[in-house]
Amino acid sequence: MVSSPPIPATSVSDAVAPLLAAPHGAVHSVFPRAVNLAVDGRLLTLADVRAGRLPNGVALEDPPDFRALGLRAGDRADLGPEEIRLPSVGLAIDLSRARRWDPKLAALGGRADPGRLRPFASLGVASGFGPRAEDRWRGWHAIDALHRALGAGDLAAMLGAAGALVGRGPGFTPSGDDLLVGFSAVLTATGHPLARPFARGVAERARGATTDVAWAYLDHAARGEYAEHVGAVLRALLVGSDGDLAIAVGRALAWGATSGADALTGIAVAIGWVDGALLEAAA
Amino acid sequence: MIAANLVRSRVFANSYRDSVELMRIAAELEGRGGINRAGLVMATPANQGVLREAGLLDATAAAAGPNDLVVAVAAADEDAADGAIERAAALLQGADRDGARGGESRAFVPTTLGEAVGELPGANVCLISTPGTYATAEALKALKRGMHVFLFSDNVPLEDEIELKALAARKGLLLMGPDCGTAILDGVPLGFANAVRRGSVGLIGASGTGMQQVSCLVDRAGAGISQAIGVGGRDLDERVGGVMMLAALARLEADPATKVMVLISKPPAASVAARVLDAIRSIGTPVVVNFLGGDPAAVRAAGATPAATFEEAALAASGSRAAGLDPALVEAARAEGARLAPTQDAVRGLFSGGSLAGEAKLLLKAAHASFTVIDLGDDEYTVGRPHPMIDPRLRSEHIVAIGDDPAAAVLLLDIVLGTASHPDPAGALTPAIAEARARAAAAGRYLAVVASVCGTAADAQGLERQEAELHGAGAIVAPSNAQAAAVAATIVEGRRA
Repeated sequence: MVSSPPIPATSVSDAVAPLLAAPHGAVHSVFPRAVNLAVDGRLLTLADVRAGRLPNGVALEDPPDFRALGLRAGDRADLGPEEIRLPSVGLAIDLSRARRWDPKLAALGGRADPGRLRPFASLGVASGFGPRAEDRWRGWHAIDALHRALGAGDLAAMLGAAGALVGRGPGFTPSGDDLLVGFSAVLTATGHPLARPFARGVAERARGATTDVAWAYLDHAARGEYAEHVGAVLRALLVGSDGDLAIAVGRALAWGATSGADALTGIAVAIGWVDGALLEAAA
Repeated sequence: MIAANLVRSRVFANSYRDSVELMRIAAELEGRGGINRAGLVMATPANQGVLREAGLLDATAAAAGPNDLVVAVAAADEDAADGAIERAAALLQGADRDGARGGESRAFVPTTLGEAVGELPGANVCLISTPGTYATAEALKALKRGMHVFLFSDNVPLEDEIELKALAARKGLLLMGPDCGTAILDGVPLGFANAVRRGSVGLIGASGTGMQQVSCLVDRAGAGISQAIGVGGRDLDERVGGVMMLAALARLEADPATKVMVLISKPPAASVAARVLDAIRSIGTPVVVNFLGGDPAAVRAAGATPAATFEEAALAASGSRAAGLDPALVEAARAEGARLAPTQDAVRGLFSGGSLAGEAKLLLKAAHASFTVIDLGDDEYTVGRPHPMIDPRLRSEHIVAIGDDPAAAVLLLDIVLGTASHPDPAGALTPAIAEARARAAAAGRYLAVVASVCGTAADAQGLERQEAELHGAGAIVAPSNAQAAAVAATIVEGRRA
């Protein structure tokens, strides 16, 4: 029984729109303003539009606090092209006016001026591998190996280094996974020949080796699909203005607790090579 | 040190928490008595490997899956382990209840000044804590909207500071900062600040922990704070010209609640000091001036009261008399001095507050003591790390190393309480103090420890509790930073060749 007014959805990612044809899914995890649904072995995220659009997301306008409503993992979700229903808490998501959004990140080409990495200088602090983490969580040796392997164009070494970062670090999307998403976004956006094999190799290694939520983002990255805040940083870095970059980095930093900073750190590590500049901040 | 002889873990299946929350809980657990290490991670194979390396992987944690949250502790005994895990469970449950965590929930934080003002249309102060690169742009936006700015960000270029302050002055606004650590505006604490009673003493400072120390000592003397306005450490630089200290003076002069003002700064540029003292001449409110190492005669000539230390400033502003060093402290200091080996003649200060470190240096130098004082909050030590007032681990490492220093006679510490500071700063340091003393003892030496706590009973960390922690670690606890420096100097008195 659905009793509350429907929550309007503002957008649906092209990447997960086909999942809406499945008649049912189940609640995977619940946050105050977001819900993950498990549908046909993939994750569909219903999240506040102010978080930015997600590659696996349905963006919602002013959602309620799902946790406070009592929504629980395992609850049923009924899916359809016009509506998603969460009957256990009497909620419906109205998809009828939602726009489709393509999360694919185009190869933009271009080069970032190394000087434009300055805004990233303090990311090491905000990252899940930063000083608030215990030394043992710091994945900097693996990050350094990744940086060097990219410089050498050695895919096997890149995947080896990435393997040490998969599932590593604090948080429900471990910092290593967030960093790898940012890193692979740079390869995709710059049209790097190793972009797709790297991202696919990472997703393969990550299956079963990290949380479902983190794996979902790596899986989308393997398809060239990224969250809006990640794409915005890449566009600003490669073809945008300093103002664009400031806004994009600010929005990315607001994502999650350390996830945004971790993804930005991954971007910085990869861009550092792209421009032939060593990234001091990662040391 | 606590022996890590017992590992316990608990699995919270399909439980998702954000990284900052997990690290915060881990740090709190590690601060508990009897807990050597703690880890809260999703049980991915990589994280299980890290737990194993850390000696935190028991069979329970090893059997968990990547979507499970593991809380693991290494403890001295069963009770400590169980208590820590129960505490973690309660904290995780609390995070559930208040709905304040979960990653995506952060989406509700406004991401632009416009959004924030939309949420709170009457706001007239904007606190900015972005990386320095972006801070100028945000501060400009706020000033253009007619808002005062508390600019917590550091690494703001000097030219930007000059421009921002000029704009603020033209608009009759305050630009507090950059790198502004503290303010109390109409009783609302910003940045690092203490829970002090409201009263008639107005503070203006280019010195964060200096203002905290004065406000706490004013509170302890029974008086209170009307406003505390930080102006940023470079405000009295010649190029900035003290423009915000002058603006704040004018504001407090017009504030009916402010009956006396205290001005605090590291040594200002001579021309700026002259300008500020000129301004003091023309105002009616009594002013106490503490420019560390400044010229008291020039202050007196301006009709103000000079104060050589933060304590003197606080007492003068509160109408209390300075009583000098407590005889009991002098006696305790002499007793400590008698326990030192002949090689030990130096005070080793490890500070979290820059102004407190500066004050200690001046006083130790004046006492002709042999000393080193390190400000661990200095940029040199905080690159890639949080400030030591938030995270005590770097200071703990330095403290332990003092135990191996044959010349070290006294370990001198400041403990700063209040908003944004560590929840148990003294308790977090006591294991390191014990380790340093044990190392010194193993080498046949005695290490004296002297500390002061900058805080009030109303601070969340609790002044008494913090002082008790330090007493428990064998420290002499002085009522102010200046008295702590004097006690340290007394301990090594006459030992310098």
